[in-house]
Amino acid sequence: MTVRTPIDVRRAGLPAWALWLTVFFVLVGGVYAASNLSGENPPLVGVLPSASASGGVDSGAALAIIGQAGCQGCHGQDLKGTAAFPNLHGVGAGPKSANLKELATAEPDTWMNIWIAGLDTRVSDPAFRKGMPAFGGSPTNLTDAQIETIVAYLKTLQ
Amino acid sequence: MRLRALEKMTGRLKKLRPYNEPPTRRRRLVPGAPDSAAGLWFGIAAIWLVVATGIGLLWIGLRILPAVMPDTFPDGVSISFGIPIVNWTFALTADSVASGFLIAFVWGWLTNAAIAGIWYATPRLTGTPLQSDTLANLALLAWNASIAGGLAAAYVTELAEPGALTAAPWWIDGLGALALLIVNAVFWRGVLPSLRGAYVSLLYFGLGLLTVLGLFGIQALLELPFISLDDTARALIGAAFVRLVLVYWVTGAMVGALYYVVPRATGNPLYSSGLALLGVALWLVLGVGSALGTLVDPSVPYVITTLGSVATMLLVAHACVVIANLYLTISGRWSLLLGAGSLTFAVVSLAFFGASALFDAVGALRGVEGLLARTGWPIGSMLFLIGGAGTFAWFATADHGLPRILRRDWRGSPLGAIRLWTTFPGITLAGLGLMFGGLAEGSMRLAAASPDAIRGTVVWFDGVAGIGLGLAALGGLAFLVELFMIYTSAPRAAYAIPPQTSAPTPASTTDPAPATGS
Repeated sequence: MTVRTPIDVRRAGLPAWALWLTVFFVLVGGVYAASNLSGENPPLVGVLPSASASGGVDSGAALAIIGQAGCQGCHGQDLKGTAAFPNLHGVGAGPKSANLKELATAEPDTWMNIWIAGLDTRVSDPAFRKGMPAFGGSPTNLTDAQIETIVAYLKTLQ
Repeated sequence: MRLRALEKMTGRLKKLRPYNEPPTRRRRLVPGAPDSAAGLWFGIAAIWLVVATGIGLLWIGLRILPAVMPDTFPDGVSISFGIPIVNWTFALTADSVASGFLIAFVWGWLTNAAIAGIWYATPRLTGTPLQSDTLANLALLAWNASIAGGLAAAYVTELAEPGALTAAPWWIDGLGALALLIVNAVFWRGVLPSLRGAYVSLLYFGLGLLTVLGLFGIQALLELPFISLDDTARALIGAAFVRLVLVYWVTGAMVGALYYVVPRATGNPLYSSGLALLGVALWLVLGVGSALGTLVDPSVPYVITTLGSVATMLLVAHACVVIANLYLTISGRWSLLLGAGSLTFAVVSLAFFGASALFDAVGALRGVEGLLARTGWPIGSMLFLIGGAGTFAWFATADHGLPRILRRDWRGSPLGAIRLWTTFPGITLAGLGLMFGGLAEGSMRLAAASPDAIRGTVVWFDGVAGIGLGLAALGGLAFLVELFMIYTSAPRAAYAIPPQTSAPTPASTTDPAPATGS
């Protein structure tokens, strides 16, 4: 026969402080939810190809900067382009837009850095940029190191 | 002379049993004695704890090596070779070892210990013996074969699946689901007749067991070869799976055990059943919501993910309710905390539980989760739950239950203190090291620091985490040795030792005798 040894309970009801505590937590959660209703989720880690296995590029850093700069707003969450903006996969082989071919020929190693920064007079004309922000300037103010991190990552996208 | 000659002719003579000694009972292939399942599941769990902490140390080592020897390992440590005949590739990287660490810790140590705790506590709460210790022990075999297979699959490129706890193909997860089905059948067969008015521990145990069975079954089905899902869907399901396992299974079983051990060890009645039921309700509702918070992808509406994040934050309320109820239960018995007994382990578990709920809430904040993704923070925060709260809850249950399960008079030893003072600081150091390393890594990434600079900084935090995991591994070893010593060197006891209380206690709350089968 098995010995049953039940555990006694001191009080059956719910203490009032527990109800107030629960109400407090729900209110705090409600306020937080109300202030975070609109926005867009970033892509799940792993949807964009990880560059960790390709030449030691820090994909985590690149994805953080890409998310902060808002690149996916125009080029799509997977950076494969939208109706108005080009696909960035395979951009390491050369520019997709015709207006950048000349720059890529003149500056084969750094044309992407120059284009993303947008401060060089060869690429700073808004008509030439066709809506692409100058990320080296205000308000984004990406540093050269940050742009280099993005470029190294973009070169790994096939 | 004649006898010797006879011996020479017939070989050695068989020694005859004296007529006044009863025949020895033949051992069964699968043990089926009362409490044998609880003892065996605890024993296997202790071995997994040592294995898991060892794998954890290897993982930290693989994270540190590239920073210490950047010329030798510029792209991280990676050892891979082909496995002949099956044409698979064995790959040992920091990612595959991290996956192995979580599998060994959550499915190996915590799950084996949790099921052992359930086998120990349930018959004593219901008064109904376990339906079949033999079946429970067969489930032990199936479960551990499945987990060992899953652990091996994490290192085989062709078999590893994405997800922190799901790195196994369908036939391995299917075996695990079968084992969990048996465990559920044995549990519910004993509990169903007395479900009405059941003690809160049984609610946590039962719901946790059903959830983990459902999740494992779904996971096995989704991995069937004819079911095709794109990478995003698999990654989203994997993230929700991990969250649900942590909330419903790891936390649920752990809280159930604490609700059992604390009143038993103190001899006090539970403070409030209403508070306990409020905790169950919060846990059930917010757990599902919390899984929604992991679905961070453009394909999921932002508001859904936000509500999920809020549910994760509100799980702090569940932790508060549980902690308050159990601290108020201890009230008046604080002197019991002076030793390294089951109550001390339970209180340490509650402290880790509160801390992990707070860290989870911080990690769920919108701005923070982006900063900390793919850093050491998520695993560090998880370590507070699995390595701190979970481990100490099962240490407490083992400390209380093993003398009763094994019918040995074991009143504590220095090994208990060693276990406390290695695992407690060990898990704290490891968790904080990984979390602060994650914070540093996330901040440096945003500032576009070079990968070398990031590695150079994070390596110090990883070093601290490595020391911590080393200490925790010592604690695991101490637990294994103590279990062995209870079994081999403690004197047999007809009845289990009374609970370690210094004052008279209500008879119905204490657990004076082990379950005795008839």
